[in-house]
Amino acid sequence: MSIKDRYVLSREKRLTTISHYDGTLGGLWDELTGQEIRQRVRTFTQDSYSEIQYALHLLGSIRDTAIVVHGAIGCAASGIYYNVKDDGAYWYSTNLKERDTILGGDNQLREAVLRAQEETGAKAVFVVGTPVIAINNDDVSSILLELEDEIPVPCIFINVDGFKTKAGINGCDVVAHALAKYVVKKAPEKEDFVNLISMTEKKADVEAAKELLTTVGVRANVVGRFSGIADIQAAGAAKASVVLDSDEGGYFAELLEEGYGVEYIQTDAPIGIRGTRHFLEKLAGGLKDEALTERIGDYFDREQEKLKRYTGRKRLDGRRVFLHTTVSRAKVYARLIVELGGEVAGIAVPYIDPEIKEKLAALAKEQPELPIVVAGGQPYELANIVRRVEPYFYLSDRGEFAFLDGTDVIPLPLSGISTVGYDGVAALANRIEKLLKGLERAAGYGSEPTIYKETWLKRSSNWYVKQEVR
Amino acid sequence: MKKSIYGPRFGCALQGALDTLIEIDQVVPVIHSIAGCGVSNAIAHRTGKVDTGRINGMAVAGTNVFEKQVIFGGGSRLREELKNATKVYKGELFVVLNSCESAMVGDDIIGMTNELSDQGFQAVHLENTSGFKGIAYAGYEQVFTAVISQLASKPDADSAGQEEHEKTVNILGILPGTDPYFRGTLDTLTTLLNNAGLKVNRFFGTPDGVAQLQNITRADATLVFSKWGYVPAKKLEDQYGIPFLYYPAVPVGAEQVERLLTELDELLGLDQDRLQALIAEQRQRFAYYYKGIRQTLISEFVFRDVAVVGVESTVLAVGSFLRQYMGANIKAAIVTDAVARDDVDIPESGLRELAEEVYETSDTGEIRRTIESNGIEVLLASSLEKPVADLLGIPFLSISYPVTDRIILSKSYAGVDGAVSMIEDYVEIVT
Repeated sequence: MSIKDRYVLSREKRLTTISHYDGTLGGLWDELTGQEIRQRVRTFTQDSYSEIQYALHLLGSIRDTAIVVHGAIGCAASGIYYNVKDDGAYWYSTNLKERDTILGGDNQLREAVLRAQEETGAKAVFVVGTPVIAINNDDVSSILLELEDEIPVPCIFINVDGFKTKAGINGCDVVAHALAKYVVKKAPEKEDFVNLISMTEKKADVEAAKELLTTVGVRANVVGRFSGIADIQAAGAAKASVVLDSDEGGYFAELLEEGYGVEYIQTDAPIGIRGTRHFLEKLAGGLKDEALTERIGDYFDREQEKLKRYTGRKRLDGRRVFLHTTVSRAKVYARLIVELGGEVAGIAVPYIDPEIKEKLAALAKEQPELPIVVAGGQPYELANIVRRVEPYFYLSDRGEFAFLDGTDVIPLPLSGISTVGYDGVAALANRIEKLLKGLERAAGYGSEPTIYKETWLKRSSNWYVKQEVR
Repeated sequence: MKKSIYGPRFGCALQGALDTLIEIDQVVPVIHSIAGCGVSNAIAHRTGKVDTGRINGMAVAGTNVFEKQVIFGGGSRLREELKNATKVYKGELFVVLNSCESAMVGDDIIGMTNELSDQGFQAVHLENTSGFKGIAYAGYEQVFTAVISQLASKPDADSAGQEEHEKTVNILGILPGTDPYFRGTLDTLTTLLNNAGLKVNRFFGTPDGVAQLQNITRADATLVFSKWGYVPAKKLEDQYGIPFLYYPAVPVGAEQVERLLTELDELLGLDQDRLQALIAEQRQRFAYYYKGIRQTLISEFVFRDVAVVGVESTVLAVGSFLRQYMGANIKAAIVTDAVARDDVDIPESGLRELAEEVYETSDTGEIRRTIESNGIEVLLASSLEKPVADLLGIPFLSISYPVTDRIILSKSYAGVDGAVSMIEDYVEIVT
């Protein structure tokens, strides 16, 4: 893909991304290294995040923007929460009715875009697609072209429909492509800052990463979640880009490199002791900044003493932890679990492809028999797998734990804390300690019965999967 | 009038139907749509920080249709989904929800649901829950009309004549999900009606929810507490001869409770000793607490110009009580669930007699401008209106969906205890 392309191809077509696998890490490694990637299809699925939700989650946190969700009122429902929580974009719905599915929703779109800009003074208006307008083949681009003369700000179509990809993260790619192509400005010369790219992170993690860079004397320009339009416009003037999660934001960084000559410095996610060090050292190396390398060295020395308090006590005490996160983060969390005295019991990731699998190379070599499941949501599969793997903790940055009902597995949520940087190591260690003590006290917390049948929970978790017929 | 909406505050018919279904124990909803239709609504409900239902969020079965099914049809995908759902979930009743995508493609959800019924499973289809066919509240209405048509047992002719027949009433019009107080309100009404000697089909928050759905046509009467319960109640009357009493809002305070009980007595003939004792107890209880705050109402001078924002039933319930007992002038009643209907003639709510001005809009921008231009002194609304209250520097209480600033589990403004809660909350913010 290139920044010159009008739209982004789905991850399945671009990267042969798969959204189902259930087996061992070694088996997955072999499969993704082979000639043909096998797409598997679930014959039973549970509702999950589509690319529309990912796109809205990202756009909803960008300040000075208006989002027009072009579809039925329910397509914008997530905005009820993001609107209150993120204090970012202004949300509009074209509120399409049955008649509009027959006659088209052009007039509603025109009205919504015009009023969105007029009422909010947004510096960019994003029109987000839905299945209704995709099936109806509404020509959104032509309408936006017509409106160009009437609106003094970029008005951009986010071409998602929710049925062309099973990897919801594709919605972030579509947004990244639109931002890089239509919002970022060319700069005559580079300035002294780096882009810090975030696609799905929570605010605490973005702020912690920015703080980490500030501590070692690097000026960071947040791009993506929790940025403003001015920050995104300025991204073309950066010396380089780093990404908080390269599975998610790597595509944006590549476009900035291709379109604006902003070097993409590939790093691990700044999580855990080694992850944080890798992040900073790679950045300094990429920038060829010796003074920065020196400052980072001093920073490590200062932090090492503090960190011993957390790593020395080995809070996890040999306990087995199942990780549920992206591949990039799984790599650094796996190391962090070991640093805290634990053992990785298994991994669940929402998607994987031959390129990003490389991040699990070391783990695949060390633990080829490690259970791994690729599933966007699908808690019925996770309910089955945790019964087989029997971890002590289930660490997840996905926020859903109800499928642990009926088991003794302890959910380890990351809500309310940031695990970024060295402070993140301390925060996770403290969370583990407080969680164990809290549950020990909370005798009434108890357990809920599972919603799943025993017959399913005892079956192979691959039971409802078939090979895709080409 | 603008057709687009700024700051949406509710979802679509599919999402409203889902809100309804997940709160009925042992119901297994199956969404036939692209991925995300239900999850999007589950994200919205995070505002309340309270778990909804038994099977919720990403645990809800969904066909997650892909490009291939959009082009060639998704009927067979739904068939395999239903077959497998019966093997994965514990549950008694499977309900299939149609979506924008499947309606536009023309998938045969009725046929697929019937196949499941033919195999001995209890199954219901909701063919009109496409998002473009209605707002969330309409989804509630569709669940109950579908249940009455497709699931409910035929009334037992013999039971009516039995002397020991225990009188049962259905409660309709209290909507899960979009009514933050639905749990507490149902508890309050159930307790009240039980104390009057009646059995109650409340459907939500009870382990026998599916049995109550099946028995909805065997009830002696239906009580309706918002316009969204009117159509199913009328259907019960037209098809099964079950009379109903329609109230556009829940009763708040002793006087409205007494009216409800008296009208029920006229309809069903209740045990007089029991009824009179209950009415007296409710009166005494309310009077006791109201006396406790009466002087404060004068000394702290709580008589204010108030705006109430929410669905019609909430605006009426809260507004009429505040007017009668707190001396509030309802300067603006802003109704967020107004829908023009030509399929049914629902009686007037009486809102226009309550408020100086009545506005009908769910557009957050219009609502804010209306509040700003009306000289409002107190604002009772959803959390989406909190910024305008802050801007104007006026007291604010979140009373309608979405509520983000407090946790609501059993709290309710219905009945006598609910009225006392209302007094506490209102006086606290205005003094």
